Amino acid sequence: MKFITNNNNTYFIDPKGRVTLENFTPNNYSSNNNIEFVELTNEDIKLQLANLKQLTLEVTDACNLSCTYCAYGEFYCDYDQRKNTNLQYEKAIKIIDFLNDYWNSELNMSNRKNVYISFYGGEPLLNIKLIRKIINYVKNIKNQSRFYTFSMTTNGMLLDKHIDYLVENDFNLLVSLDGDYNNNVYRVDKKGRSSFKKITDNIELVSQKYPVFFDTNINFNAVLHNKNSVAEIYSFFKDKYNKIPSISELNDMGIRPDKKKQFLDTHKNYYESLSQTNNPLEIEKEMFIKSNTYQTLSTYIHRYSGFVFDDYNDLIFGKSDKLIPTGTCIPFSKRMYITVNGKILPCERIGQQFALGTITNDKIELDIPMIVAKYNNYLNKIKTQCTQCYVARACTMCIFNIDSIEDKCSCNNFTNSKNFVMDIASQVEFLEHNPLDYAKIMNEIIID
Amino acid sequence: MKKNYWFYIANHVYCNIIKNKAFLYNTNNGASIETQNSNIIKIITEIFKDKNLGVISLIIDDSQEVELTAFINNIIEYNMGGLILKKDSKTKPIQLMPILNIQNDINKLEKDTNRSIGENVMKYLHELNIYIEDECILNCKGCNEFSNQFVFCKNNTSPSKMNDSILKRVFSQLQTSFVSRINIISSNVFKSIKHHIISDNFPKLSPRIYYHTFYKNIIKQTIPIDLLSNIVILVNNPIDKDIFEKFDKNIFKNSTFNFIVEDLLNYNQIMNLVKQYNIHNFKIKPFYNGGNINFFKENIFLSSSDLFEKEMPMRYFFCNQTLNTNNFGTLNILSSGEVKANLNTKVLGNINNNSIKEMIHKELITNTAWRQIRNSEPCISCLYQFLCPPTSNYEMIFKQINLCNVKNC
Repeated sequence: MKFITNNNNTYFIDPKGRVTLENFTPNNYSSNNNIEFVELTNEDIKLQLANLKQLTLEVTDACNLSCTYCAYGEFYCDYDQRKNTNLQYEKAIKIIDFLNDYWNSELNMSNRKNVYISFYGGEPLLNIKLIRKIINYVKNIKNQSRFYTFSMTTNGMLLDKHIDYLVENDFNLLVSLDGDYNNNVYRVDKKGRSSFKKITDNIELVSQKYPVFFDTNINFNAVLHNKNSVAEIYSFFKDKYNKIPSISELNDMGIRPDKKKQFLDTHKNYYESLSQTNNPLEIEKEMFIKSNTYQTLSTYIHRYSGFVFDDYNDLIFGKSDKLIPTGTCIPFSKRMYITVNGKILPCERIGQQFALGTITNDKIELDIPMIVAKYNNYLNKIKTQCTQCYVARACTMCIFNIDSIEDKCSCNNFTNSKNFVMDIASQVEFLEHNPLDYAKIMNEIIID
Repeated sequence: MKKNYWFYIANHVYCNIIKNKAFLYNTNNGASIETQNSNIIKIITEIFKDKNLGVISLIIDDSQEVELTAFINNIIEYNMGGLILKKDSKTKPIQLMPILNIQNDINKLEKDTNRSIGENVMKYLHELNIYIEDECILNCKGCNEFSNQFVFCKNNTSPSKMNDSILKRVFSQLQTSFVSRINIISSNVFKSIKHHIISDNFPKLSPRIYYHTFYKNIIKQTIPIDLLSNIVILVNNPIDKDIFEKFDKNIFKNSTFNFIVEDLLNYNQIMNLVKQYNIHNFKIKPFYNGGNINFFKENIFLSSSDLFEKEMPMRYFFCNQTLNTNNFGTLNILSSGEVKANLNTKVLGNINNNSIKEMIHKELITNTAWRQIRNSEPCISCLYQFLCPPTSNYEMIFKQINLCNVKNC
């Protein structure tokens, strides 16, 4: 495989997907690239439960804001109806105990491991009572092999009331804010009034009262939409708080058919927004790994440089050629998400119709063979496409984000050889202009 | 006539520059180039800088230094890089150069307060040596020195024997490990342990279990025929040939013989024995007895030709820069319960009181053996520092890091 960048430099792609300046080997990079697609097993899932990194608890579905684009709002139809419900303490404890049994089992691979206990909502601080009870319980768990970090995604409206407790428990906070007053028009209270002043006053209070905590434990997430831009978001947080925010586009999965137009009017594309500024590269360089460009570049370098290893086993034995199709995570390999209704999901980012189990009043219903069968059924539907896809080894596509997963199932990210070469060429071209970024990514970035 | 080129060294080339010398090694074909020319070393240094990503601008003309021309020609001839005419090229081309990046490297975990070196450590257990009993009445010359140099039975003045319940506890902890081999070692292994203790309790145990036993004790035991290929027979000097006469022929065909060798004469005897009995699987274990340094210097110490015998991939260099593949992943459990990463290093804990995870975690932090690399003099000044295999038990016994005849410092 060969390509020429816009800078008129010629490159070859070797059988491992690495770019070279000469065709040193007669073999070509091919779509299957020696991958052996395997099925999930019961043991795979048990192993993830015993080595879970993060438990996210939706402590309430109530919220003191009524953001127009909320993932549980009018645009979407893939979630349980919000009824101002709180997660029951007993259910939270039941799942913690269930997991702790796994963490204490011989399937636990760690002598010492951090588990993130994360609180999610609605607005989680509306149910601080439950959060306090859960934290008390977690702190008294008898398990030498685990320590815990608490984290929360919050809209910041109640930070003034609860910040002492959050600081005391060393919470990592992700505060949602979309930029300045005008950028924030969709973040309104139940009466449609702007939340901007209250949130920024609260942030000001935290930064004054707990400056170190503010520096180390508080991050921001801004949603990109038609009332803000990447440049505005970046400038606001940089100037006001000296912070680099994460910027997310609106989730385009699970949109209600009758709200599609409104959704599309509200939605803004990251790159489109960036291209409208005078200094896009400067902003992206400042944002570095929080920018889409550097995230994509980092993924490319991690997957195709050939010099990145997950751990010492990878280094000694080489990377495994056995993969499950798509970029879907093995369930619970990144986290477990519990909804207010006790549904068990592998992640908060996927539709609640894909729940893998439930916490009932009596027990945990998590039928592992059923989950395995469900995943393998989905993955087998798409496997043929994966064998012909040129980015199969570096795929980031979650099976639950594929339309029509229950039917014939077709991947939007399928990449043929032409698109594969174009993708690689664009990364290489970026590095031609920004060569120092390669070492920076290699030395600084850890991909989860 | 002057011509403008991009000169590049390919990203499959390993480079080591020490003082006034440079060494380039093609990890695809094993070809190498060494130079002491300061101008060439300057060029190589420039090429490997982060900002250059393997490529620099080079003007070539007729008055160019002969040595530089020869170097460039060699680079091209050995498929280690090349020249590209600049022509219409608007920017410098790039390559993803070999910067080692281990995502879960200990140094990274150490700096992250939300991570621990102790996480997921069980996967790093690859091999277990279990010295199940250290009582022996044979009193072989050199006994106890053997096991410090390679896997061999040992004797103790206050002997102990691991009981079955401890063994069960060990095996029960291996479910999530990557253990592919378990060596059970005793001078009379089938007297020390009954195979069914393992097979009955752990029918699903996936690693292969090898029983290491002293050759003189074999004839006294009935060995299950289906276990023959799992038996390693330990043979020291002088060899009692009469015992070999009494062995079942299937042993020669299926079992592995580990012969201790102390000198050339001894080596020749073993070769004759191998031929005479048609021994299919055998290994030679050179033993330093304190008086055979010349045998080691002549036959065991590495020479330059040994180092270049086969081509090494980039991963090999990365491994040698990071960890010791001779030791990494191995734990030795003594009959007393003490656990060591290497029999010549400090005790990590006791299997009666500590879990295997705890001891792996401790080894990763204290680094008694697993991450011992060639990072001290004289190796640190040698161009072949990481082409050379990792240090072994012999280096520990000799208390000398460079068991080689290579002069390249």
